Amino acid sequence: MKEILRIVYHESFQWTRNVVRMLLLGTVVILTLAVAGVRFGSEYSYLLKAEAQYPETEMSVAQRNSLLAEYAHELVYSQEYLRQAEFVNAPSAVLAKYREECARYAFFLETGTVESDYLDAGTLTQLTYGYHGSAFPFIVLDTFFYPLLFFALMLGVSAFGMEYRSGTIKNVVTAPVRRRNIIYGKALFLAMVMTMSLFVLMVLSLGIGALFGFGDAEVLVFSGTICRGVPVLVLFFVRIVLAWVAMLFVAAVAAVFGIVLRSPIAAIIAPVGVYLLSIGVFNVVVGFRQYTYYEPNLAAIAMFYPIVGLQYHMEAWSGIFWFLIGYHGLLIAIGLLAAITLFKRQNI
Amino acid sequence: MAILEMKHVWKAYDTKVALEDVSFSLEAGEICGLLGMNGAGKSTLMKIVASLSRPTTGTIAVGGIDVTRDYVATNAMIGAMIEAPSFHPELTGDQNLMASAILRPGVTKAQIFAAVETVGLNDMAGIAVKKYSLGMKQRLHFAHAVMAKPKLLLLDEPLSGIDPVAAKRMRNAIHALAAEGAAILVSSHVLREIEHLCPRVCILDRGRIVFDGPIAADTDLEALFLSLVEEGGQAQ
Repeated sequence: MKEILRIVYHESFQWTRNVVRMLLLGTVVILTLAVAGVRFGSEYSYLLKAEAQYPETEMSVAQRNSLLAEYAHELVYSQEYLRQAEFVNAPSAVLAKYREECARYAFFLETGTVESDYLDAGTLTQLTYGYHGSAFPFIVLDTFFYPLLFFALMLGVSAFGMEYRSGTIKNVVTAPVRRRNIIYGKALFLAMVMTMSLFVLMVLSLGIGALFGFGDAEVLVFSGTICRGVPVLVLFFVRIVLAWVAMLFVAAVAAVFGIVLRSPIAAIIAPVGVYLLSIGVFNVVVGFRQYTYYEPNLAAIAMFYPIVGLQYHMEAWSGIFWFLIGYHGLLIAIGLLAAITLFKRQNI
Repeated sequence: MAILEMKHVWKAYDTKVALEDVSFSLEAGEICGLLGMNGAGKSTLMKIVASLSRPTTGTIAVGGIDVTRDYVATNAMIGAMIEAPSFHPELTGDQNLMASAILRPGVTKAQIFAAVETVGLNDMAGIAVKKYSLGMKQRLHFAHAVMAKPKLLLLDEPLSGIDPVAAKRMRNAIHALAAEGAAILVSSHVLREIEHLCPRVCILDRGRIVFDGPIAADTDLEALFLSLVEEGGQAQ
């Protein structure tokens, strides 16, 4: 353990300056987003749009009852459509569509809420065009998602690929530290930096979001035929966790390729190539239909589009969350073992 | 007491044999020059001792400990200056040494400053390495190798690109370390340097040791080297 901690300290000693620069840059971008929101948000802000569409004045009991009655009516229709579809043995996509509709209206009726009190996942995407307290963290996360992955890629590459190119890997390998502990230490350091980056992003975006006001809106989350309301901040935390896993995954892939190929450029190009290849295989083998809204094979999406699966299939978070975590964790563990095996035998 | 002991060491890369049945030992306080043409196996030998590379067969012991079994223990005894100097260009000279010292328990700041002083880099230690000349990087490399007061010092072309003043400082440091009991293996193409520095010489030719012994003050090392290596080369 001492050896691992020494490697972590050694890495932080070497890279602190660059990491701090990246964090400062990120902070400046987040603040710019916030300032832009304040400056230009008045014209385009979601809040104003939402206020125009759904005035703040409380809905009358009669209006609410009327809407709920309408949903009850729709539920009956949907149930009838579903029964007919099952009777004629309709394609699974059609069945799924009606099941989902049934679940949706049943949810409104069970909870006594009306649709306009909620933001569905699509509305959440629209929020990124405007500014709203609840939306701001998502705006920041969406803005930073790919830069964060690039940051993770560069960290992974710097862990080994750059060390091979500069020759500094010799200074580490000739030190009295087991080679497997070099990998554990560097992996721990990468995880710490990524955690810190996301923590800074989270604190800043939530803090600034709070200035705009969070409200109490919930997000409708669909998972197969289950539809439920999730507090917007809970959804944000889930996405932060998944972004963290995505970053770990990218950094691990870049680090492993760095050890195998001993070159930073190759360690960047190779994972991107493998990723594009996996997308090609996905489209040929599984097909685009897996992307359709009503028949998502989420496990297939997650496998073939590892990172995209993490970021854009939040609708299924309750059903596939642990699967995504486990799947990526398994890939990272396999990469780590492969890296240790290779690194222990490598002539430097 | 033998600090370094190699027995029947072979190293092969695919079809090429880099070291062939090398047996060699180095006592405490001894300075040995390692000579050979390009590709003779000098760097390979040093890399195997420093655990940068694994032998195909044979045993290497440093301080009585087998390098392939416990390289953590042997690396703690070794200071190595192998191939080109490699440092983080953004960090200063002393920061680079401190970063390495983190991985070597027991190395104090005083030792780092002493090593920097040994190579005469005091004034430049606070400057980023990217601003260093090749000779300054080489001096920093030497400081890096000696800062932990190693029992075995491996020096691959240590004086290459070094100005005469710094070279003298480094030669003095090598002699001082040997006087304290360190075993020192120095490889070089500059025969004159080896003549000045090393009472003993080992000559490698295509992976094999063709000469290993003391050299007298009146020995013509160049003639000896050429007779062993050129004849071998022609026979090959």
